[in-house]
Amino acid sequence: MTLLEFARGPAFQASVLILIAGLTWRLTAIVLLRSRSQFAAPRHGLPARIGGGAATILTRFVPRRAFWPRIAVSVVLSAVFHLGLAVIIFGGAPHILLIHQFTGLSWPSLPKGVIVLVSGVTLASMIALLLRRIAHPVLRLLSTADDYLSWLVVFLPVLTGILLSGETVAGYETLLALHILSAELMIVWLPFGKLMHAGLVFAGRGLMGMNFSRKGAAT
Amino acid sequence: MNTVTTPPSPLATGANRPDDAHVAKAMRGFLADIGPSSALALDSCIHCGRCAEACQFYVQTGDPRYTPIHKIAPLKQAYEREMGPFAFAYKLFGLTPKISADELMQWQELLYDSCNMCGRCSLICPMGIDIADLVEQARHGMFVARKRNRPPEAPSD
Repeated sequence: MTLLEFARGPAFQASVLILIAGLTWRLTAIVLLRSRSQFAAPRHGLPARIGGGAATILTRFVPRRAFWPRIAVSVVLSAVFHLGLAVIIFGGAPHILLIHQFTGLSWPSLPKGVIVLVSGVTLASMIALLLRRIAHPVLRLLSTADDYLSWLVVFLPVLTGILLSGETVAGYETLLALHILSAELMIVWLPFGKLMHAGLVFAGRGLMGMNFSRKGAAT
Repeated sequence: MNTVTTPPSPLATGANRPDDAHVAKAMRGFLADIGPSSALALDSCIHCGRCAEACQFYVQTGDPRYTPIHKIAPLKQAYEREMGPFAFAYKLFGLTPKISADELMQWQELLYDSCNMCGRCSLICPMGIDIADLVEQARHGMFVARKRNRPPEAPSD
């Protein structure tokens, strides 16, 4: 079995299995907790609360104007990084092909040159975010091993993806295998660390919006 | 000449109990209030630090200890170690140490004297974490730690 066959076969199956088991375990542990009693009468009914939750999911993508001067760097770097990842995953031809194989869905891809350029910008934003995390006193205080590990497991697929597009460091098969393995490492780590925020962000914002609407507060 | 004496632990003087008993009570207080909503909030923090930029205490002093999400660290520590999905791993590998009475003492200032519950941190959080609500829960845990047992004990001061 070649490295590529291993990456496409057993490694892929194992990573998906770990992802599903981890997600199930983590979400079940949260959902099964007993809710706190809320004794205050709600200001709004359920439809308004659901509306508040949905609105908060959307509005939290852009911070309030009053906060911008102090968090502009953080917001811009994070936006570039996240949008870059989205363009790479949903715009790159090989990724669309992979999605098509599993779901049957397909859409036009972006030119390879664009994906390589976006990958470079994404990589640069990730390095800037890492340096900021190391240098900023608040981020240094808050950071745990999870922050750096999560950064690494996202950084590696982007890096190997750029190397794969050039095929200069090693042969195509080796680079493709390394790219797939690094993506699988990210999938394996997702349910156990902060990468889980990819899903929790919507639940968290939605719940906050519902709670605030219940109180009759702006979200 | 003035002599400096170390004041007795407020945790201990609060109700004539040893510090360990206070810590155990605080743990129970922290955990009793954690439901799905709080667990979700504690689990989804990405350590972006934006809440600090919304906090008057941090903005005025520049002291990172005033970062709102850092103020509820004991609550998060209790959750991760005792209740979270991977609590067994945190305990097994010693990833989150047990909270000490000294830590609770240090956090009294951060929880009570360094937060006016304005909620600006909750408004800036990109993950939708109601940090002010978590501060209230952490305060409750600290309150429980000093709460007297029934029947009431004789006051120590």
